[in-house]
Amino acid sequence: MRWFETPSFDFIKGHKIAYFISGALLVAALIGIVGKGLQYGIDFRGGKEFVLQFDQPVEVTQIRSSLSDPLGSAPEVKKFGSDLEILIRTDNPGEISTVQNIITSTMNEVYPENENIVIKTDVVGPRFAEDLKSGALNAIIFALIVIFIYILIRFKNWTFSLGAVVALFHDVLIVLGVFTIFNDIAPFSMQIDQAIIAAFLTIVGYSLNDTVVVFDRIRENMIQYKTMDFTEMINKSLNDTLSRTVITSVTTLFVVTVLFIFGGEVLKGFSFALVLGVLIGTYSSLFVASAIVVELQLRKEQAS
Amino acid sequence: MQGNGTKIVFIAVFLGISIFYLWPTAAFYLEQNYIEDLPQAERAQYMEENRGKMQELRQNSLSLGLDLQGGMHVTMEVGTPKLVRELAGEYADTTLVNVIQTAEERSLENGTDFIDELVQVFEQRDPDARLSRYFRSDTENITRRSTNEEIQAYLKKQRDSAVDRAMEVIRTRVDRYGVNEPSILKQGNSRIVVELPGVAQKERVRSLLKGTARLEFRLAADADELNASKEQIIGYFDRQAAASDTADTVQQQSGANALTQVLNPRGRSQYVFGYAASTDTARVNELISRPEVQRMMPRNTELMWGAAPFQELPEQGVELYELIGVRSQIEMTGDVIEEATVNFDQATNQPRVSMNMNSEGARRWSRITGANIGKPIAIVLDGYVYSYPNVETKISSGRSSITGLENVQEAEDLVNILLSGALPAPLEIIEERTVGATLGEDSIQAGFYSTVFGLFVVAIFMIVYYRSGGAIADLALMLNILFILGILAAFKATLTLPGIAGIVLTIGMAVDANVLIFDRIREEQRAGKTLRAAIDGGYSNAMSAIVDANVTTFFVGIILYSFGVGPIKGFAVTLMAGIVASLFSAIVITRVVVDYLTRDKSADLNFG
Repeated sequence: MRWFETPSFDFIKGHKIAYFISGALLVAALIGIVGKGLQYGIDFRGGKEFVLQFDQPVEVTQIRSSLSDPLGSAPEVKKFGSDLEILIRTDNPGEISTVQNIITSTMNEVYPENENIVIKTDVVGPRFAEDLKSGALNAIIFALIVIFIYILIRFKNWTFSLGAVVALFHDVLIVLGVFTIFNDIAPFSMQIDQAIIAAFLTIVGYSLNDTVVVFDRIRENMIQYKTMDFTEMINKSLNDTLSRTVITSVTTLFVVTVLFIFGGEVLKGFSFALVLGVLIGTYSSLFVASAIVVELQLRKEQAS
Repeated sequence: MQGNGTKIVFIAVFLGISIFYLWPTAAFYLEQNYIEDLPQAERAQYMEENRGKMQELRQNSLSLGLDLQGGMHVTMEVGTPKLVRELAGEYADTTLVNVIQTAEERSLENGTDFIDELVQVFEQRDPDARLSRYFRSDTENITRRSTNEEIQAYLKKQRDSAVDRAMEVIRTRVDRYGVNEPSILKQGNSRIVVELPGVAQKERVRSLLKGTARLEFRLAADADELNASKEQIIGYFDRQAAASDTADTVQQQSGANALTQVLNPRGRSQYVFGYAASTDTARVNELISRPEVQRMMPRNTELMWGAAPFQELPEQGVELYELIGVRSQIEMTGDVIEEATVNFDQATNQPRVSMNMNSEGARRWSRITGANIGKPIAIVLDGYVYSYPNVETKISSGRSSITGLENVQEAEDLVNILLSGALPAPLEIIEERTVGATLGEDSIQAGFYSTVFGLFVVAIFMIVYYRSGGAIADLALMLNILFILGILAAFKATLTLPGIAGIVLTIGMAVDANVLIFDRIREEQRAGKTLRAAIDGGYSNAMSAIVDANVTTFFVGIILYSFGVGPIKGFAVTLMAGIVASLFSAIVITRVVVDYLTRDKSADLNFG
C-alpha cells in the first residue's frame, strides 16, 4: 500500500488558508483563556478531591445540593467514569479526615441503602499547589528554550528555530483553549493539572518531531538543489516527507485513541490532550512551521 | 553485511540483560498464581517454606506505583517558622514574632526559603540589628557576638537536623505500624515524602504521621475564677445579642446569645466551662477566640476540649464534648516517659496507656502530686484533655496513665508515638493522595488493555502498509517493549499509570524511525536503485532526521523528569527509556534482519 507516493501539493499556496484557520483557532483559544481564566485542577489550585464508589447509580445534582450546606459551599461534583463513581471536589479548609467524614456521613444519610466507599483522595495544600504551578511553568519555558537552542545549533539558522517554537506555541495554545472552553461541558475532567502539563510537553515533543523531519529534508534539499527557489524547495521538502508525516501521525493517533478509550478514567484528560495534540501538531508542522520559515527567510533576504 | 557480527552481539547482550532483570518479576507473578491455585490447606505451608524466596523475588521485581497497587502518598512540611520561634524560646519578643510572620508570608508568596526571607526582613527593618540577641547555643557556638550570617547558617542547620529527626521518628512509627516497603524521602529542604503501599486506614496513618504526641501535665484552672469569667463572657454575648437585632452572621439567630446557642454552660465538675456537640465545637472555638472574650478569661488559664465525648446520644447522632479550664503553665512534659504499655482499666474495662517515668520525671511527679492533693491534674495530649483525675495521694513511683481513649487501636498508636519520640517540630500535611486497591487494579487492567490494543493496531497497520518491512518493524517493536521494561527494572524505576501511557505512546512513535527508513528505501527504489543499494541509502539518509527528532523528544523527557513529581516522573522515565529502546530496535535490529533476508543478491524483500 502506498499513500502520497509522489505528491505535489502546493502547501505554500495553502498557507493563506492555514493562516486564517490558525488565526481563528488562536483567537478563539485566547478569548476563552482570557475570558474564563485557566481552569486549574487540584494540583495547581489546591483543595480536596474524593472519588466515591457507590453500589447503585446516583444523581450528580442531588449530591451537589445535599453537600452544599455541610461543606459550607457547593462542591464540584462530576461522574468519574460510570454512574457508580463520583468525584467530589471541595475547597473546605478543614482537616482531611473531618472533610471526608462530612462527605461520607452525608452520603449515608442521603443514600441510606446505597453503600459508598472512598476509592481515591487527592489533597493539595495551597502552598504545594503554588510550587507545582511554578514547577510546571518552569518546565514549559525551559523546554522551549532548549528546543530553540538545539534547533539553532543543528540547523544554524534562527528562522528554523523560531518557526519550530512558534508552531509549538500554536499547538499548545489551541489545546489549552479547547480545555479551557470545554471544561464545563466535557464528560470527563479537562482541568489543567500535572498530567495535562506532561501531555503538553509530549505534544511539544511530538510536534517538534514532525517539524524537525521536515526541516531536515529542507536542509538536505538546500544542498542538493542549490538553485531552486526557496519557497519551491520548502514545498518539495514538505511533499517528500508527506508520506512519513501521515503514517507516523496515523500510528500515533491509533495509540492515543486506544489510550483515550481503554486507558481508564484517570487518564481521560491526559489522553484527550494527546489526541488533540497529535492532530494539531501534524497540521502545524505541515502548514505553520514551514510557512513561518518561508516568511522569515524572505524577509531576511530582502533585508540583506 | 559486514560489521553485523557486533550488532548481533549487542542485540544478544541487551536481550540477555533485559531478561535477566525482568526474570524476578515474571517468576514472582508465576509463583503468586501458583499459590492462588493451591488448595487452602497447602497454601500456608507452601508460603511458609518459600517465604525467603518470595521476598527476594518481590524485592527484585519491577515495582508498581501507588496509583497501580493502591496506597497512600503524603508530603509533609516541617513548620520552620514555629521551629525558629521555639529556638528563640524566652528571647523571642514582638519584633521577632512580627518578622517571622512577614517572612512566612513573603516566602509563601515568592516561593523562597523561609530562613533567607527571615534574615532579609530582619535586616530591612533595621540594618544594624543583630539576630544574635534571640538565639543561643553552646554546642553550635552561637553567642551574643555571632553575625547574622552565622545565625542564618545555624538556623538552617537546625532545620536540617529537625527534618532528619522527623524522618527518623516517622520511620520508627511506620515500621511499628507495619507497612510493606514504605518509602520515606526528603524533598527540598523542609519536606518529607512518605509513600505507603497498600495502606487502607488513612485516618489512622494521618494521625500517626502528624502526631506530635506532645504530652503535658497541667493543673486545672481555679474553679472560682473560671466561673466568674464564664458569667462575664455569657453576659458579654447577651449584650451583643441585644445590641444587634440584625445578626452578625447567618448562623446566629437575631436576639439570641451566640455562645449559649452552641455551648451549654454547665458541666460535671466546676472545672468545666461548658459542653457542646461535636458539630458545634468549631463555632465555639471561633467565639471564644475573639480578643475581647480572651481578655475576660482568668490569667494563666486556657480552655481545652476533652479528647473523647463525655456523653453520646446515638438516637440523635450527637456526641457531647467538654470544654475544660486548665492552667497555661505546663508542669511536666512527656519527654520523661521511659516506658508505655497498653492495658485495661479494671473497673471500666476501657483501654488505657500506662506510663513509667525516668528517675528525674518520677521526682518531679512526686513533688507536683504532693503539692496538689485533692486537686485535679489534666493530662493533655496534642492540645486535648484526655483526663483530669483528682490527685488522691502523693505519687512517688513515677507512674501515670492516660485514659479516655476510644479503643485499643488508639491506645496502641499512642504508645507507638510516645515511644518513637516526639517530633522536633510540627509537621503539616501539604499533599496527600490515596488510591484504593480496587481502583489500582482497574488501572492495571486499563493499562494492560491499552498496551495490547495499541500494539495490535499498530502492528497490523505496519504489515498492511509495509508488508515484509512492516513485519520486521513489528518484531523490533515487540523487542522494544521488552527492552523498555528491562531498562525500568534495571534502574529500579517504578511503573505508574502515566508510565504505562508512556509505553503505549512509545509504541506509536517507535515505528516512526522505521517509517522514516522504509519511506526512504521506497524513495531510493523509485530512483532506480537496486534493493541492496536502496536499503543502504535508506538507512543512512534517514539517520539524521531520526537522530534530530529523537534527541529533541529526549530533552523533553529530561525536563519532565526534573520538574515533575510522582507519577509524572514515571511517565518521563518510560518516555526516555522508550526513545533509547526504540532507536536501538528500529535502527539496529531491523537492519540486521533486513540484511539477513537480503543476503543473496537475488533475494527480494517487499517494502510495500
